[in-house]
Amino acid sequence: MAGSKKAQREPLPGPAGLEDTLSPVDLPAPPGPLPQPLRWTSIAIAAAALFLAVFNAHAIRGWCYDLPPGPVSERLIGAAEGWYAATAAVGLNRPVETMRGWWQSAKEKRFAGSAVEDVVADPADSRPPE
Amino acid sequence: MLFPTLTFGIFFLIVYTASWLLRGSNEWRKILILVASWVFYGWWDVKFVALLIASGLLNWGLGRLIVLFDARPAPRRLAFALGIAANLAILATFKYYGFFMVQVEHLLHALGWQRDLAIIQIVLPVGISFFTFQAMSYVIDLYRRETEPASLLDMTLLMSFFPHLVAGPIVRASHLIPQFRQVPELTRGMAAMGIALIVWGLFKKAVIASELATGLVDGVFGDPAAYGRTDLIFGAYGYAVQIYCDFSAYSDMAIGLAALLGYRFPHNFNQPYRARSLQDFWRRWHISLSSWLRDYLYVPLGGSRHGLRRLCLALMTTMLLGGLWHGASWNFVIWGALHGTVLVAERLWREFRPKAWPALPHLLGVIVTFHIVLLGWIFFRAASFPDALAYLAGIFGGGGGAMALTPLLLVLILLGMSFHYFPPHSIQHVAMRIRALPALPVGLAAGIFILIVDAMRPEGVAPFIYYQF
Repeated sequence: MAGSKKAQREPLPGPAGLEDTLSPVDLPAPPGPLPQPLRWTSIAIAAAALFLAVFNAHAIRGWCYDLPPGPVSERLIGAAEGWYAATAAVGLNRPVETMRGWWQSAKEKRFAGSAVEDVVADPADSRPPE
Repeated sequence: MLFPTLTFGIFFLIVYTASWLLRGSNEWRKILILVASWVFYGWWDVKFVALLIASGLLNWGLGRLIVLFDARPAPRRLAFALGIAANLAILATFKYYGFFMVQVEHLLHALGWQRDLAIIQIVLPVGISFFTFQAMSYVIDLYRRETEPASLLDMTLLMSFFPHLVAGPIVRASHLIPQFRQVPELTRGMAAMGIALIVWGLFKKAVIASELATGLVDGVFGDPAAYGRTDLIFGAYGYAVQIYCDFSAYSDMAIGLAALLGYRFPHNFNQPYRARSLQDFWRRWHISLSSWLRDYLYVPLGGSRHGLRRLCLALMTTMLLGGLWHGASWNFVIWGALHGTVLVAERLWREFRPKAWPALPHLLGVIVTFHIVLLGWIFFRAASFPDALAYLAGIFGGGGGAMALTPLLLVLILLGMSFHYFPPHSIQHVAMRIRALPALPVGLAAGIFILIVDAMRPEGVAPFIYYQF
C-alpha cells in the first residue's frame, strides 16, 4: 500500500491550493504518486461495510424486519436473526448498545425546571425484540 | 430511497461495484448508472420515472433543434423559447397549479362568486425543481453557445444521475456532460474526499438535524403557543442549524457519492453563517442555485449594467422568484421578499453611505446578517403566514414557562453553529491526510464513525427538507 511516511507528512497547502476549485473533491496534487486508487477505495469501502456488518448486526436485523412480508423476507429475517445472535453471543453488539445507552441518558438530561414531557419517542419501542 | 439508510447503502455498493467493473466501456457504464438512477427515483413513485425520461427527451430534442438551426435565428429562437416554455410548463403544472387555483378561488370568492372550483390534486414529483433547472440550463447554454450539444444518453443521465437527482447540487450541462464523455478517472484524493464527505454528511443529517427536528423544532413550530419564549428563540436557532445540517449534509453526500463513481460535482455550501452581509451569504448558501439564478435570471434582467434602479428591480425579482422556486406558498414569497429587500438595502447603503461614516465592524456584520437569515427561516419553516406571525409574537411577547430545550439540544445547536467557524477547507485537509493512509485503517475508521452515528441517531430517517422542493 502507498501509505508511506513521506506521504503522511505531506504539508498542508496554503489557501491557494484549495481556493477557486470547481469541486470540493479537487485536492492539490500529492507530492508523490498514490497508486491503485480503485483498489484502495474498494478495500476501504469493503472494510467499512464488513466492520458494520459485524458490529451493527442489529441494524441489518431491523432492516430485514422492515422489508415487505414474503418468503424472501422470511428467509432474510431468519438469516439476520441468526447473524445477530452469533455476533451478540461474543459481545460484538456491546459497543453500539453501550454508546446508545450513553446517548439516551444524555437525551434525558433536563435543565432545572424544564418540561418533564419528552417529545421524542423511545427508539426502543420500534426495535425488534432483543 | 434515502441516503442514510441500509437500503441505499446496499444499492450504492451494487452500483459502485458494477460501474467500475464496466469501466472498459464508457457507454455501458453510463447505461448502468442511468438505469440505476431510474431505480433510485422509481423507489418513490415509478410513474414519475416516465416524467423524468420525457423531460430528458424533450430537452434533448429541443437542444438538437437549436443546433440544427444554428444559422437561422428565427427558428433557433423559437426552439429556445419552446424549451423554456416547456420546462416552465412542467414546473407550473406539477408545482404551482394547485397554489394558483386556490388563489383564483379566493379572488373569485372575494368578488362574490360563491361556488368552489374543481381543483385537481397533483402529486409533486420529488426533485422536480432541481432536474427542471438543470434541463433549462442545458437549453439556455446551448442557445448562448456556451456548451456543446449532448447525446441523448448524456442528456438523460445529466438529469437522472441519482446523487444529485432529488436535492441537488444543481449541476449544469457544461460541468457534467464533458465528464460523461470518457470513463472517469478515480484518484485517491477524490475517494478520500468522497468518503469524508459521506461520513460527515451522515453525522450532520442523522444526528444533528434529526435530533433537533424531533426534539425541538417540529414541536415549537407545530404549536408555538404551547411554548415559552426561550423555547421559541432556541427553536429558531435550532431550525437554522437543522436546515443547514440537513441540506448541506445532502450536498456533501451527493458530492461524495458522485466522487466515488469518478465524477466531480460543484461546491454547494461554504460556511454560510459566517457571512458578513446577505450578498456574502448567497455566495455561501446553496451556491449552485444562487449562481443559477444569477446567470439565468439576474443578469438577463439587467443585473448591474443598466443603472441602480434596474439593478434593484433585478435583485428583487430574482429573490422573489427564488423564493417561489422553493415552493408554492406565500411564506416562500415573503422569505424571498425579505432577502431581496435586504440585498437592495445593502446595495443602496454601499452606494450612498457617507464616506465619513465607518463601515460595519466584521463581527457585527456577521451577527446582523445571521439574524436577518434567522428571521427569514421563521417564515420558511412556519406552515403559514399567520403561524409565522404567531411564532414571532411568542418570541417578543410570550411568557416563560417550562423549557423543552435540553442540555443536549443546546450542545447540538452550538456544535452546528461552530461548523461555520472551523478553519476554511478543514474537510479537504482531513481528506489530504486520509488519502496517504493505507485503505484498511481508512475503512475501519469510516466504519467506527458510522457505528457511532448509528448509535446516536433517532430510529428511522426523516426525508431531507429539500426533497419537497
